[in-house]
Amino acid sequence: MAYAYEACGEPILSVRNLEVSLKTSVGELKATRGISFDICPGETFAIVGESGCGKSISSMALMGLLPRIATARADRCVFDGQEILNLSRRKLSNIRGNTLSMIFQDPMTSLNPVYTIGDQLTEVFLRHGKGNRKQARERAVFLLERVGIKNAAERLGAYPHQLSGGLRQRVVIAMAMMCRPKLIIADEPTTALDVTVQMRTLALLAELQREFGLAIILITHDLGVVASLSDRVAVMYAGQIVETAPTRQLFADPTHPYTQGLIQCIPSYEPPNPDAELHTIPGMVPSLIGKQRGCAFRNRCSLAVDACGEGDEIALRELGEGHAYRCLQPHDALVANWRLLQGESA
Amino acid sequence: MLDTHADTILSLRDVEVTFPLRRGLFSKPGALHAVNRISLDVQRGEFISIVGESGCGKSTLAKTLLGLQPATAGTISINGKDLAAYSRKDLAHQVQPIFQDPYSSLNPRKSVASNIALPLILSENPPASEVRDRVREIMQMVSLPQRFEHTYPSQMSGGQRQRVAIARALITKPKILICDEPTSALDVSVQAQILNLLRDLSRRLNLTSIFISHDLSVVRHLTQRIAVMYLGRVVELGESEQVFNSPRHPYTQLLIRSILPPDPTHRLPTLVWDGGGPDPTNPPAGCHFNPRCRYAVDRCRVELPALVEADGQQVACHAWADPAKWRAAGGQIPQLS
Repeated sequence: MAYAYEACGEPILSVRNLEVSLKTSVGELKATRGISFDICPGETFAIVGESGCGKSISSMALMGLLPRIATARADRCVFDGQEILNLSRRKLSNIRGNTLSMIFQDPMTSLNPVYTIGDQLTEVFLRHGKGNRKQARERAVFLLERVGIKNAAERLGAYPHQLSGGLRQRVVIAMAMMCRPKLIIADEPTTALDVTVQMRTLALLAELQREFGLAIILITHDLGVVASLSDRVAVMYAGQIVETAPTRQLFADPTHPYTQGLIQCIPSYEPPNPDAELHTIPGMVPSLIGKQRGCAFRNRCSLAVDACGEGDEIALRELGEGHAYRCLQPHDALVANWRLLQGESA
Repeated sequence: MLDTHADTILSLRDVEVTFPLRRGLFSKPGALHAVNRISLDVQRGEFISIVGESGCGKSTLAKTLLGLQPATAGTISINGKDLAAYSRKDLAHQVQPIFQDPYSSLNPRKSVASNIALPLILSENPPASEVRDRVREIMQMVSLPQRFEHTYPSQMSGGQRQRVAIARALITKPKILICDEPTSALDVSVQAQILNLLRDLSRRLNLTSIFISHDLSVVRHLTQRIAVMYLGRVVELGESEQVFNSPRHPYTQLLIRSILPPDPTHRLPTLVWDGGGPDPTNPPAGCHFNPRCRYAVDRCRVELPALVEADGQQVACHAWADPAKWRAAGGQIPQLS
């Protein structure tokens, strides 16, 4: 199966056919069309895609944080031996922040401005009955020091507005670590940060992961972040995983035409040809309202044929070693297309 | 830099923008130097980038060039005439902005055509038929189909909205375009479309473009010159390729090292946490970058380096002012890797 690359024994999270739909005034919007993946303990799994592809809403569904207008269903959604989808609030709140925690994009909105960071850090610990106040405080100081905040004991009394954006995101990371989680869902953890701070924050995440054996789901739109941090990656387009592969493999042999286009249109650091146009993907994302048929990318794809619009969905094709893609074209035709794209920019 | 070319369209001399600060009722009033003595000449038709992290003053500089934020000292001249001497209407024919967020920079209650037409109506107020024709012409130029004329911004995608914003900026036929992070709210595939469009238009219309960004990799594709700002000052200025291939200032080097290429074999550099940017209301003495600089010596903590010429680039760093003397004093020359 392409869902998990290595036989890692028991996956920490196993998702099969997760579907999230939103009721809107113009009809039902299928935010995800059946996504499946396994996360092994200690690995970083990146979900990459552009806005509206369903990457954030699927993690919201896992955390039980969907808005009221949304409904989620799945064949299977097992975290740490327990089915977590549509769990009661009470049961969910025993998991959230405990064995499963989340890091959001904007540290200014994910921290409460009227409580000190000490209060917010210890609250999680106390809420989940991990120990008394003294132990909570010790754990908070230990983690703040671990994420590189100097004078941690004093900083516990600081309010979020007294910290810079990079420090705030470090506090959020420390908070996610308070109860020794097995899995952290990081939704665009560095998008709101400056470039020099982004790199340090990613390096910190990688270190913490090695040290504590965490699994991370990294949700991002930035292929640079994917390349530098993740072990495996899933590329999402219009609510589907269109390609999944070990990260090295994805960049060495991008197979789905959307993945190829996405990699190609990054204004890369290397080729400085002043007259070369940046590669673009023509057209735009289709509407997700109503029933979807065939491949969602077909109207932007140079390789599309009539058959791409037929059937409920395009089947996932396996290439071995955990690499699979959702396209009718055979692998060698897609490899040829990638060479062509690269020739265009050279 | 200080020789005035015949074809200099925009010229800044020691421009300062200072905001008064008052921390508490009884404390001494302070000042925030958002833009600190910047001098720059921009040639007609040039595409120049201003790069820096949040709080470095790049957006304040953009507002100042648009006449939205008066400079507290120094002079800015456009086509040889002082910016303050332009009336608002005349300035609209010289400089136009494109802002970062196309969701908040367009009026949600007006149709696309009225959004685009507004600067034209305010500055020239031509007859309605001419307004319509010029809106159509400009929409075609930015590849917006005519059917969008009567739609509202809320019905459009981010990329389409940014095209509307570009059309609105170009309708008064300005000479200078100030783009303040025009693609950072967009997805990568759309970003590439907008960057191509901007470059195309500026060549076709011989526009002078000032592109403000925090993203060096975006900038490299577009611009001829790059100015790197740190805490209100320009710390490095030079030809785009030269700045990329041989960055001189340690801050520019840090920015270039921070680019994450889409390459899984690239390793994250191990860097110690340096606390990030300093407090702009209380900048460190000497070179503002010295607390984060691994080459800093005592002199850097006392004396502010001036922007000096070093092999065609301009750098504000003591190490590059006189490399031989610097080495003789035991200093290291800043290197990219």
